[in-house]
Amino acid sequence: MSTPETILAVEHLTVVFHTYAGVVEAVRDVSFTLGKGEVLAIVGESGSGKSVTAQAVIGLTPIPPGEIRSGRIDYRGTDMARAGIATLAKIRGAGISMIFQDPMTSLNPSMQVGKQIREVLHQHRSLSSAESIAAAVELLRLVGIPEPESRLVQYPHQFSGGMRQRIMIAIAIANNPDILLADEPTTALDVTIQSQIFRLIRDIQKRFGTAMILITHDLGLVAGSADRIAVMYGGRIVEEGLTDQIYYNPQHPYTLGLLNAVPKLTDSGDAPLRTIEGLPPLLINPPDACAFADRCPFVMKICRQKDPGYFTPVPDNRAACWLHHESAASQRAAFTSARVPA
Amino acid sequence: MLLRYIARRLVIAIVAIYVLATITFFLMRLVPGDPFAGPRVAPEIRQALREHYGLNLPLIQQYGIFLWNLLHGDLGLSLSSRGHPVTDIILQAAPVSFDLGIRAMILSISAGLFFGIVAALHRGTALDYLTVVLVLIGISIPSFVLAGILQYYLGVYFKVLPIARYENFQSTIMPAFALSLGTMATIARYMRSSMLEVVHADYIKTAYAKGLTARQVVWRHQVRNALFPILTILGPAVANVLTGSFVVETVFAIPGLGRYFVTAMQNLDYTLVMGMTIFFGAFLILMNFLVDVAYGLIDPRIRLA
Amino acid sequence: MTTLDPSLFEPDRERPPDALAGRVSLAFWSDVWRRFRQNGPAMVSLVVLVLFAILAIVAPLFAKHPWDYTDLMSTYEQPNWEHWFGTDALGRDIWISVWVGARVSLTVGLTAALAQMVIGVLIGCFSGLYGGRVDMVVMRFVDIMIAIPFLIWVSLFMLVLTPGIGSIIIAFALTQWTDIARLTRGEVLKLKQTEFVIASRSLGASGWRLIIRHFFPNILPIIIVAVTFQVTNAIFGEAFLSYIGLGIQPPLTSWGKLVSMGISEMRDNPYMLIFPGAAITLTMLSLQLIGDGLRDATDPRLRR
Repeated sequence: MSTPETILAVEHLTVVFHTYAGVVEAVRDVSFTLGKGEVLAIVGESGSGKSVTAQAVIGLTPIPPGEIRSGRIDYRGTDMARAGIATLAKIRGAGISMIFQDPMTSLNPSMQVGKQIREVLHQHRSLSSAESIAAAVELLRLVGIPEPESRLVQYPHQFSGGMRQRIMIAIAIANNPDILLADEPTTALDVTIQSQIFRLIRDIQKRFGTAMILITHDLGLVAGSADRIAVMYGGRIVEEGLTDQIYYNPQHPYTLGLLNAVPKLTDSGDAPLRTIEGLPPLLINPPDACAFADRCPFVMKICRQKDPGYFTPVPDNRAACWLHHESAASQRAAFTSARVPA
Repeated sequence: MLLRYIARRLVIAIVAIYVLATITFFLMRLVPGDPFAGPRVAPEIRQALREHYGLNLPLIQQYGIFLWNLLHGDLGLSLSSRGHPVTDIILQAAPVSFDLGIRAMILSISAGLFFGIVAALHRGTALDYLTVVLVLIGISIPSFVLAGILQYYLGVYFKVLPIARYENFQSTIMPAFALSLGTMATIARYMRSSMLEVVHADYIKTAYAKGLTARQVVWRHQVRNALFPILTILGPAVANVLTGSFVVETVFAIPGLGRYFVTAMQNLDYTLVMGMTIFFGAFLILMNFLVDVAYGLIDPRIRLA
Repeated sequence: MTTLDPSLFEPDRERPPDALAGRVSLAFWSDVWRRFRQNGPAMVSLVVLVLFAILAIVAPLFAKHPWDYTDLMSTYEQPNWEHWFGTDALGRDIWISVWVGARVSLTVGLTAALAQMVIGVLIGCFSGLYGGRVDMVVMRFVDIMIAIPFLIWVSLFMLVLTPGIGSIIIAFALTQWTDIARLTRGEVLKLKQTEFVIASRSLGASGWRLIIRHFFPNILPIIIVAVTFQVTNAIFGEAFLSYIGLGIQPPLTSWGKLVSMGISEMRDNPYMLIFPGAAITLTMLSLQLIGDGLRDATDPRLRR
């Protein structure tokens, strides 16, 4: 398998937020790479730091109260964590684009939809009005909005939630970006619409070969779409690997918990939903320990005393778990046998 | 859809004016004793009024006459000005008040919006705090105190501006400013908080994600949407300017509606008070109606519902 | 990799204390107070108001003469050691006048605002609970009442009633309840969509208790903030009425009356306007800041 050329390299990124309760470490020492045309899914609960990571990649971290304490986000030679406003503005909307979660509020309610699409076109290319109108029409057609010519002059409130998200997608891909960040693009939509929109995103990604970072809390969603999956918990990546491996051979108890939480067709109708006991940690002054220790069914004494760092139990994978230390054999055995065959 | 919206508003406006006139009518009838028996009313006027208002007739008939006259623009006769028709007095004083009021509104709106936007854009800096402080003072200082102070310091002490009457441009400056300050402060404060609220909206994030610069985001997206809620306070703003005029015209001896109203109250000139109340009320109801219509035209969500 | 003690890899049986312990949970009102306390201007305003209230009660008690003691030998005196705020046309001490006036103005302000609150809450509850046609009619009525600026309403009432403290309070109470009524109605409507519906099914006392327990804590902060602003309006309104002569009558005095006298004397004796003027302005400013502070302190969204 040939490794695609790396287009984004995040190295040891740490993002904190200054709140009235203290300094919250939302993203702690996160590193990953993204290849050209590759789809990486970042999966985790709310508060795991996944959205903050995506915001940082596109340079939209609100500063203050946020602060990029350390790390580097390399996109084509530019460090997105430290670049100036002008540089970032050139990249956003052209090199890196983002789709947000709630389509109902993500569009300017007092501006025609066509204008909003053409705005991103004019920002990065020199086009005449006629050209941008034609391009906008084509984009609307591409994302599946019927009669695009007449809908250009309409306002967001005249579209349904699903259609507004399609418009957002149109805006995001207007300039054929290298990287598309999709932050829970279907979470706020009707269940019936979710799969439609998701399929649209996938199709567009395949068609244009755009690299994509897909952020979601739903492991079930990304099975057929992602090349690689990174599982985040407590501000860190706790496991990262190829999609098949994550689903069939998870190496971290949290990943296992997430997988078990997805109801399966083979479950009996009245079986209780499997959940992960407890709540995510409050990330103010986090101790040097595994963040998942309090909720982990396989916790060992060392888990509470020292942060695990990464192990590579299987190829093309890394997992932050003490279970993979040579001395943890008995607990690892318990873990392995706990994995119910799919 | 838009037509229905306007029509509904119009009906409400008309009903409101009607109810107001009725309330005023009955309220004036509640005055203990004979309103026309006051010492300030000359005897010959009293007779004319008795006939005019048909005070000898049953209340309902009086009410009918009242409404009938109202529809014909007849607001009765003033008690203290030798039977001058109220309508004439109003028409004579109105232009002065409108002139003053319009100057004050223009000043309030332009300065208010300006300060509100600037303060929001420079949030947390000295400029912002200065604006907030000025706004607070503007809201808190009662208009008569302000008018008095301005008149003294600018008019008497420093002799910079004329202190009374309304003849040339200079003499409009102080009154217009005194009248505008309260509303200016309110608009500035609302605009500032509206801007700050809009800045958290998702579509602002989208705008930045498109690669727009801060200036573009602010002017194309933030200010436009921040202006909407300001429309809703325009109605009350006009009302404020109107009531403010009572004080400002009195202090600066300007022969406008406000001053006539105040003197009418002090003279217990019930008919004049009644007539002017209906006039003011109808004017404000009409203004609110116009603001509603404007809002319907500007907000695409209503225009194209 | 450094070698680690194998015993560390035994399963950890003890469960840690509840992770929630890290989160600070507070009773509602103490949290409001905490947040209010952090608001500098609001705290200063509170101090100022308390100071004014104390002076209003206490200062006249320490006076040598009642406030309307006329001393024709010392008219129009500039502020000096004997008369801190100077004297007026009849030799009355302005310092005492201001604090006697404060009693009237503050009392009127507070009472009127409270009366408005009672009427407003009752009407708002009534309108919200019954809903439907009743609600529509009441709200239209409110729209009409709002169409007339409050100064005009109040002036009209004052023409009909005999001027005096009582009439002023009545005039305000009967015409300014609209804001509070609207707010109350809004909360009632919100509540109707939640527990009230369920409560009404279980009917009787338990339903009512539920309403009271859930409804009032929600509405109280909003009402308190609104009332604070109404006090500002009432004080201003009373001052305005007294200024044009329809308000407080002798032998009482109020800030409005003092300001009205002060304006006519502005040319030669500006201090006659400045002291009462400053008193009113500072009071209204303080109320404004306290109202803002309360609103910020009770706003659930600002709990970052």
